[in-house]
Amino acid sequence: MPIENIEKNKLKDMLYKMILIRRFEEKAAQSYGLKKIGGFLHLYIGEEAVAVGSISNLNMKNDYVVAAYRDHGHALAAGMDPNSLMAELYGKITGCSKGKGGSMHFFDYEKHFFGGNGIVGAQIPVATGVGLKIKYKKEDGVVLCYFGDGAIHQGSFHESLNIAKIWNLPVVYICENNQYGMGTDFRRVSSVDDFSIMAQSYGMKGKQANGMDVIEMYDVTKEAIKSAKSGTPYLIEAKTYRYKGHSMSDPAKYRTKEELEEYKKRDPIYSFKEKLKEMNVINEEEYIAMDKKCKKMAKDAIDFAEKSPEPDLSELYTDVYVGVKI
Amino acid sequence: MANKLLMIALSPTMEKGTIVKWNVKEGDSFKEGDILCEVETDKTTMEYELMEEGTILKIIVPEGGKAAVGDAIAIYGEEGEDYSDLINEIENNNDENKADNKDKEKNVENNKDNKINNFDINRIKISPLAKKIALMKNINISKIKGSGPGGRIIKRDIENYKVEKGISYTSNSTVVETTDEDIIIPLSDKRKIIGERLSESKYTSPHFYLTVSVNMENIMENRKKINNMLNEKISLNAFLIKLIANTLKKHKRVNSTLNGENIIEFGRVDIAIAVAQDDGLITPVVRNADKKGILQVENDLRELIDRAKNNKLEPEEYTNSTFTISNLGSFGIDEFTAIINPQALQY
Amino acid sequence: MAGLRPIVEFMTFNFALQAFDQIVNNAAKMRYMSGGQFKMPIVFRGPNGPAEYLSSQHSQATQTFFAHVPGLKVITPATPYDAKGLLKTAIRDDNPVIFLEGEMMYSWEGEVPEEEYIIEFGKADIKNEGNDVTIITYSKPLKVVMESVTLLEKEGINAEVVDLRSIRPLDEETIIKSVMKTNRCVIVDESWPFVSVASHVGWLISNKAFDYLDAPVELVTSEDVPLPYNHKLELAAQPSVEKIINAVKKVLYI
Repeated sequence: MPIENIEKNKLKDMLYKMILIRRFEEKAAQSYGLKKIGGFLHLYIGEEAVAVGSISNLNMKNDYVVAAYRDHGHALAAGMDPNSLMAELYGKITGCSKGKGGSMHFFDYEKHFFGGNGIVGAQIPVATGVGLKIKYKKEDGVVLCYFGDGAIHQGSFHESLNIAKIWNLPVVYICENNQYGMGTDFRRVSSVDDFSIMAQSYGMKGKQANGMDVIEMYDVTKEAIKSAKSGTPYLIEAKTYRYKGHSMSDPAKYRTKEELEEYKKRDPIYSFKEKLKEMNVINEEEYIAMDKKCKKMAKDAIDFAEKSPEPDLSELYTDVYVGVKI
Repeated sequence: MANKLLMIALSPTMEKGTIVKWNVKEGDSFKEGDILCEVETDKTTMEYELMEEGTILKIIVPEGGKAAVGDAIAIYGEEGEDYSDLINEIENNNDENKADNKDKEKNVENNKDNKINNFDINRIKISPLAKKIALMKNINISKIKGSGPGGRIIKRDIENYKVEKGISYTSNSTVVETTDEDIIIPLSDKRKIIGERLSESKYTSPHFYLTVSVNMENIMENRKKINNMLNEKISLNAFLIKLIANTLKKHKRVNSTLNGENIIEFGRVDIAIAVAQDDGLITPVVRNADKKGILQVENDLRELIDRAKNNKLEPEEYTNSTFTISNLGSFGIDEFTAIINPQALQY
Repeated sequence: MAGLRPIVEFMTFNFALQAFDQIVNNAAKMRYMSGGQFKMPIVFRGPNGPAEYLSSQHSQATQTFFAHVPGLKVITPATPYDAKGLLKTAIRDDNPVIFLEGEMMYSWEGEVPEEEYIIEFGKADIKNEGNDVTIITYSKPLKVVMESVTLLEKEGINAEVVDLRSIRPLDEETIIKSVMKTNRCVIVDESWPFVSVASHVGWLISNKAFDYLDAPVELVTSEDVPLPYNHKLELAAQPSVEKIINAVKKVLYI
């Protein structure tokens, strides 16, 4: 779809969401440095266009998002509250998972955000199962399932695609190829360079997309959803790049500074803003105001998280089982 | 003063007995040791003797009647005595017993709901270690107050208990009396098995003991004659075996065993005799003793005993007897109560 | 199986669960199913047990899963010295060996001789001698156990510490001898309590040292819950000095 045909407000919203994700994560990284957040913190900075472009197609009343452990961007794009997400990073009771999940395990049942999964590739069968539920209950919905270039070699991916096609489930599988599985260049561990062709193995459709371009992501996902809802699940390979290490403890020595700088020149937020300016959808002042708003939301989220109470020790024993108190 | 003649337990497991026969009538007087009646227990018919003298005033349980252990079966005392109080008491008591029984039933019901509580109340809680020490030192644990959770008796309590009594078994205590140290002899497998088998026999086979005195003069006389004639000694045991073998042939009921639901009366008469060994006891068997002459019995016996003492017996030589003799006479023992040698006893 | 002697390094044993089928259905069974024709000289090694702030999927002590399976050996060193000697044995062993290294233990320091030595499987190590109570542990919790022992000594309680080092095979003799000496036992295990290494050792003691026990065996394990992300909660879920000391006092009736 030509960008001119997309509503202006929709375009502005996409830009706003990408900025929010970036500002949110920058703040989170700061807090991590202050040891207010522990464990793993997998940042999405640089990849924002993938989640925002694809999820902007969804109606979260009917549709679902299932992500891996690099899940902050998807959660925000799916409309989760930054306060509850930051509080989760802080391990507070007000967090979206009551402080029990942390960075890798954002969940929101009501908003159809089904995690947040720490095991590489383990969310792919989950998403496929959600697709079965939609089909079984004859609902008008679709599942977007995100995973990385490392997960695509897991058995869970291949088994899921096979069964999704056999049952014609409404699932769009989105491989976010940020080119490094932790520290390993995807070309070293993959027999093919173009992941989208794997779809053919299972009789599905597949396509590569520029994951640094939010509109391309939006368009390709729209097409994929149409296909999935009409009975042919879809695999998108989003070519993208993460600016930060795999997690906060990764110095990313496996790639060159030049490579990183090259991608930063194609920064999804910056280039999208420039395009919208060209189209007169937004001017620089509006952009600055938007950015300010996002910075404030990120800061407010930090304040909220800091002020929130820790979970009570008794929370240790809650939610192990449904209806069983330990 | 009038007394109740109470039904007593005439077998270890008897709960009730039937009066088979009264040897006395109301008004009869009796002496110390007289047999007053015969009682059929759960096992056999036993004689009921009373080590008192007096007159039967009233028979409460007639012939053919049943009485539980502890029930009055008659009233005795001095002739002409008034015993109406006792009669009233017995009648009330019987009612109470019935009520008691009902209560017991009720308790059983309650216990079903409350098993754990009941369990806790009735048993003495003691740690395995404390129990072991108590057993070794022969301490009655019912007298010890436990300081562990729920009153559990623990090692410390046993030690403290001893200290209170002024006798300490702990090595670091200052009140140790000068006694030689205990020697702990580990139980050999053989002794362990003997112990297990015999206690099993003692607990599961009803034992009762009857004693008669027999004038052995004739046998002793004959033995002397034979020994002189043969210039070798025939043991008293050989005579005993032969005598018993002949008796068993005559009274087959005694040459029998209980095998689940059936009594097996053996056709053969195989008599075992208990022989002491350094580390236990063994029962070599003289086979077909009823069919052998006294000399043959003596020869068999001598060889078996010899092999037994040298640990050379084969299993088929010391198992499957139909009757066992334990004779401690040569140690100057007049009378003792042996334990039935269970079938297929290995040692 | 075909002639190589592989050493598989898992990034963490949480991810080894994705290979559970290969380990349990293949590595552990091949020899038995083939009537002894095949050897499976393979070592699976890597970090195990909770680290910090990683929530439920990344904080599992997986030893119980593997120890349950006949055909696998499960080795759990707690010191650098033991790790070297046991890893050499693991590599030389012709059976599949699960070699579990506590994730938090990688920064621990200890003397390791340059020269070659091996430590036999199935030999527990008395890390501290004592008469009052036996504390049985293995892997990472040895650290909190030793800290507890120091504090207990100040109160006049001398604890004997048995470091199992190897879960399968298990050194029953050392366990039972120690309990027969002290009459009391606390087992510290960072995995979950339900059908665990700790519960197995507890049964073993009640079975083989019953008459020597003056108190029921106490277990200090992780709480019976998945590990949470919140740090306060995740610490509360694991064995601690405080929990160990409480358990020791409980078996000593003080």
